[in-house]
Amino acid sequence: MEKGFTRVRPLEGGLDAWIEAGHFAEDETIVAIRKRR
Amino acid sequence: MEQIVAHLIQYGLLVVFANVFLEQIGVPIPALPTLVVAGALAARGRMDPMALLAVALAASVLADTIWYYIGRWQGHRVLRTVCKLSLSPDSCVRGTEDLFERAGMPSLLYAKFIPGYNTIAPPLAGAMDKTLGSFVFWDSLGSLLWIGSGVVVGFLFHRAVGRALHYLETLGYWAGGVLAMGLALVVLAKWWQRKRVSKLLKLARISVAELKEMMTEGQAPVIVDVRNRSAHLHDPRRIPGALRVTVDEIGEKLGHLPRDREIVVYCT
Repeated sequence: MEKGFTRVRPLEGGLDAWIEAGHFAEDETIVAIRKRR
Repeated sequence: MEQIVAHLIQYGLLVVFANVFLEQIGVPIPALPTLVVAGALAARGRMDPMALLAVALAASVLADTIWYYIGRWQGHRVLRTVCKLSLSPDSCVRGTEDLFERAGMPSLLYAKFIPGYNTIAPPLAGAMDKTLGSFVFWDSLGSLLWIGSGVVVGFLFHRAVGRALHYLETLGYWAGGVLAMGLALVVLAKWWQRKRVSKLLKLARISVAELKEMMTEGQAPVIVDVRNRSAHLHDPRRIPGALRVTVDEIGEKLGHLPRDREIVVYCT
């Protein structure tokens, strides 16, 4: 997994844990609309 | 032997229903041995084979339908909860989602023969908003295949099953003790293995707090969102700046990732 890379680590609990911790998560559809503009 | 058989004949269908229901709802009590013994009893004319199949099928579909509704209610979050029981929750979530995405509802036909997928497939069908009619159809066929395999084995090898039961009967009270000790040893070995592997996995993972700290300090790693398409459609949010890479694109996109920065991957 770490072949050629400095370090690869999975995030404990994934996206759910990130959101549950109260951190901001950007909405991909909004990001895509902004990029198009 | 006569005592065991008498109990099974008296409470047989109730035992079969309870055992199948409990296993399908997630309690680690294997129902296959019960189905094999019940099949052997049916071969000797001591249990109605049609009633046996109907009761086991009802228990299996009932438990799976409960999971289906939990999946509809909780969405993909239920996968994480169910996968917490596995040794590697991330790969469990990804693996089951990928399998279901590739094979769809017909995967319920063989889901019962794949450990883990068995419990996860019904809530996954609910989370993916599959219709109840389609779910009950495929789940009933899959359940019937699984129940039928146990019952047919018991039916064909009823003499061998009879000899095994007779041996247990001669052991008397010791039989219960030996079985309980065997079960306790299996549970202990699983627990020890799980503890060892989860300790190793913990060392190799990054916590949310650690990632947030790195981002605040301006040492943000390359964050890669490896969720599959259905998970993305279900929840389009992502950690700010995360790159989206699906399994099909890994080979193509991996070469573009910087090799001098740490990489953090995440799924659901």
